[in-house]
Amino acid sequence: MNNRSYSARQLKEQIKNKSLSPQELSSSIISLCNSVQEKYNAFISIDPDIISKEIEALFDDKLKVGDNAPLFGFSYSLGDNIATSGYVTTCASKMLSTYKPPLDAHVFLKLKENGAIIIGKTNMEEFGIGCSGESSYFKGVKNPWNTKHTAGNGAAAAVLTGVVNFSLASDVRGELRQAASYCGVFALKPTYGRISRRGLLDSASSLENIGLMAGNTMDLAAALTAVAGHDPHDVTSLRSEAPDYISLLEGNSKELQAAVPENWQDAPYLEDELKDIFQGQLKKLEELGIKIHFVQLPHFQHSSLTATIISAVEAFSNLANYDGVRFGYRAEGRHLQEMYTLTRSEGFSSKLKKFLTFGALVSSAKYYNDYFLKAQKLRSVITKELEDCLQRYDLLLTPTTPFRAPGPGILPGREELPDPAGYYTAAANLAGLPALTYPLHTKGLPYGLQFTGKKEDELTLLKAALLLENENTLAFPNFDFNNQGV
Amino acid sequence: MPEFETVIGLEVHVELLTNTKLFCGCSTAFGADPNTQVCPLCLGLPGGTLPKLNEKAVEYTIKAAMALNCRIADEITFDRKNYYYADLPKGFQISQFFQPTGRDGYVEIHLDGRSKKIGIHQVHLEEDTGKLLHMGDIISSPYSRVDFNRAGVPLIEIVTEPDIRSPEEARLFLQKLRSILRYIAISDCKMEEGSMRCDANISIRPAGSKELRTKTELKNMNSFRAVFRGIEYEVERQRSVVMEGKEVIPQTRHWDEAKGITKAMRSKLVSANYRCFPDPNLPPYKLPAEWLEEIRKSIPELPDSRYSRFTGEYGLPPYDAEILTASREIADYYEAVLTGYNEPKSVSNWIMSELLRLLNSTNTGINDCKIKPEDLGKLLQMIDKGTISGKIAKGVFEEMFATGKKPEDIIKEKGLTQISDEDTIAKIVDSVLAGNPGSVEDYRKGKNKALGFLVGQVMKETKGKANPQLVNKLLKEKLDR
Amino acid sequence: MQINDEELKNASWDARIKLTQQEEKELHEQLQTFFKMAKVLQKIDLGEAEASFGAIKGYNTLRKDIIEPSLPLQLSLENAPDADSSSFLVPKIVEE
Ligand SMILES: [Zn+2]
Repeated sequence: MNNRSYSARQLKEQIKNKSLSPQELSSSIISLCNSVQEKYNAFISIDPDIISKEIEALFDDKLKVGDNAPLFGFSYSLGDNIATSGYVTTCASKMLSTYKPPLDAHVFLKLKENGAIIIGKTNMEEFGIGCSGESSYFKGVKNPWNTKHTAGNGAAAAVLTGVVNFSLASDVRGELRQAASYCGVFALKPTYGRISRRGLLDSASSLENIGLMAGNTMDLAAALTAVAGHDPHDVTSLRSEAPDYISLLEGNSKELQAAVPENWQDAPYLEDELKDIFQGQLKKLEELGIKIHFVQLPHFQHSSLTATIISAVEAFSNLANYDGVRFGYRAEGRHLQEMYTLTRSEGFSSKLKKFLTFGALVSSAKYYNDYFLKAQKLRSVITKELEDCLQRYDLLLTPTTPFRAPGPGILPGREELPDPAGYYTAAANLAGLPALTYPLHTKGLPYGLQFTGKKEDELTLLKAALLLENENTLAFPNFDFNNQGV
Repeated sequence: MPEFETVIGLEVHVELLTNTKLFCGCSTAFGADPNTQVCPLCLGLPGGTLPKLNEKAVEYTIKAAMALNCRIADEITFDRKNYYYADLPKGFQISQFFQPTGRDGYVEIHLDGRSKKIGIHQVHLEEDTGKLLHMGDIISSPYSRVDFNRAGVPLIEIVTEPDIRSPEEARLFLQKLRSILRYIAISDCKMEEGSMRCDANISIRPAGSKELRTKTELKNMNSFRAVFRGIEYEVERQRSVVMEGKEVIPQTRHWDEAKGITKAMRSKLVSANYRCFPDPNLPPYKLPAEWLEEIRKSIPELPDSRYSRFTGEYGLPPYDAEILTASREIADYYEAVLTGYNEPKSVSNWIMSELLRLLNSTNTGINDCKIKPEDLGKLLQMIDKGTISGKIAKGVFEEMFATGKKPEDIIKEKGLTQISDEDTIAKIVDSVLAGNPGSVEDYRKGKNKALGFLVGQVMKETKGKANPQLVNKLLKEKLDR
Repeated sequence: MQINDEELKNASWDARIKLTQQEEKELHEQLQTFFKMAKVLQKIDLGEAEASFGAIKGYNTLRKDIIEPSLPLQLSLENAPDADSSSFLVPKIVEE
């Protein structure tokens, strides 16, 4: 356990023995939200009325939320590209700044069923593409460890500050894990299809997943258990039922075999300090009984390039419905085509405009075969390489990002094609594999350690994380809020 | 003047008769108020639902591809065709670009007594677009309304090989195609309502040449007649362009029905670049062999096979067979009549001249026809037996058509049974002869016309019920005596 | 690999986007890095590799052809930037 402001389990006790009134709880949560918002800009929407109502329901025996609901007392946030009919859902874009979706996302409904309360919708890069803190219409999220640096997204900042127990956000080429690494929290991108994508306003359907962040492994597992599983309304969701991760985590774990890409140090912008830290972690893992094997994965290094091309082309297509006709922002034009062009040029950020143009370019007749099609072939090769490797080993071990949260002094904050932050993370999206980032709290900004696992085997990743968590004392910072919460 | 050969390929879009759209549960019913049959998915609203493929639409596409003699793909896959237009809600149309459901089929048409195969390049399944409503015409309309009810309705597109050589072949092909698709009941194929739409790719080349020349694409032909006239006009236009020593420009042209001409649409310099790629939200659907077998078995006997049977087994002339087999319901009706009255040519005559005439004039479909096939058979039998005359039968037939009563009941009610008793008729003949001495005189002077008048008088006396052969015989006997 | 301005303009038009001069300049720079790195795509031997296009190898399922309720008209039009009582409105289709 860590020293964040409150835990769901403690809260549950307090609600049960009524040592806390709903008003007290609401006002403390709302004021904590406001502080986090003021300092870090973590949220796009916070609605005190919704929070108060949800909390009252927790105390009201007549209402459905029984205290035996698995997530009773848990609070969470959703990335603002996950549909909620009660809140505007903006994708951090001017294009959708007032958009209310007609339906709720599958995950929202599942979490409600499980008793969790939603605190708000978190800030992110526009449409969840990238993690460098430049393209949100609502401005970037500041990193609570050092506000000069980006937090990657609001979901990570919200978890880090303890204003929520867990948060959900999307992961296209690793954004969820990168932000968690930048903020030093846990994150899991499950197997593609493990969590229904219904209600996700996705930019790249074949790569993008909803993933989870939390302050510890058990919270991550609890949230995953609630939202995972087949959804008949998402034909790409896994047919197999998801297990109860919490109960399985209690069992003994066998000795794990971990693979490390031999050339892991080839990443552009790799920080020297990270090299030492990663090597130190390998030793530590060996001591904990995780056996390390260096392996050759010759195409792994091209993952980010491959995923950047594919995500740009899919975004070009997925975001083509943002045309000012049925919803969202519209600029006036003298005729239809001018209206389209002005709407999209004014409604999207400069970064997204360039990215979509890039997507149009690499899929144009001239470049289709040499770039887009080649990237899809390379995707097959990378997938096969990873699957072969994971046949022999339980997990693949890498840093999560080559560098810490971008900001002054830590360079790759600018736009780049391919995205250097995705060097280690993008492979899991290409292959649809689960990947977990474990926080490493060091002096200054944190790092992340990434475990990539076999298809549908989130459990092994959670076990490995728990093993480390039990041995390490994570030093979560104490945030100096006027009102420290409960 | 050099001889030219016309080369035509058709692209035919047909709306399927499913209850719901291709990827969502919205109704496909025709004629609803604008934007009342839409949901977040078919409106392309962000954060809505994900596409779920309609089983019936897949079944109908396979059925059509089989009926058009195509090879069927192993899997059903979908691709996105990306472009911008106001009637397209998602910014892409979901279609089958890389792997159509059916390939390499053919349709046989009958022309001047020979038959010809028109190759089918492919049959694929895709979504329809919404509809634009302009204020006046598209050019002057200051803004347009968009109705997305039709967006996402399942369509099949049938693409022919460039095997068609004349406007007449094009028309015959379309009629045969419509007939086949109606036989398998996957579409109502109404060109006027837009549930069947046809575009034509047209080029001409010197006779004997094998190469394909520059083609124009002709759109906006909303009836079989328009297809014929549009192509005819466009071929003529291309011919005069070539004769002037100019080049045919590749372009899309619109058929203007009122003016009877084709007009070039504004040509875009940038060529269409759809960037097709497999839709990541729609994994392939593997077609189970048993299902394919089931679908194959459900296909009824098709017009060609029926045509050969009708000309062979029943000895019908090609003209009759063509008309009777053009619609499955009429062919079924015809054969149902034959089961009670096995005189193929006579039944064919009655259906083609009497029944189809009444159906047309009252705008009734054969399924709503009140005459039961067995009753028509009975009526024809009564003529043969001499119970009623052919002339009376026509009146009875009309009554049957209007009321659905059985022929024997009508005849009984109205006392229409033919008088075939010689004594009874002889008495009437005598009185007619006595009452018309002038005509008798005329006849004896050699004016044969007078006989007809006298027959008419007898028929009049008997209200048409007298057996005409008997009347003739008796009159002649008495006059010639 | 050098992308000319024409190609970039066509691509942005296809995405219905108009880049500012500054954005064009920035994208040209990004593309330089990109094409340098992407050379590898042309070099590596991908052998018989098939394009995968999706993260899962699973198959689709079918839905029965049963009508489900559509959205109420007012909800369909709720988010529209321009609509009358029944339809979405778009500006003049033809440019001239
Ligand atoms: Zn719909």
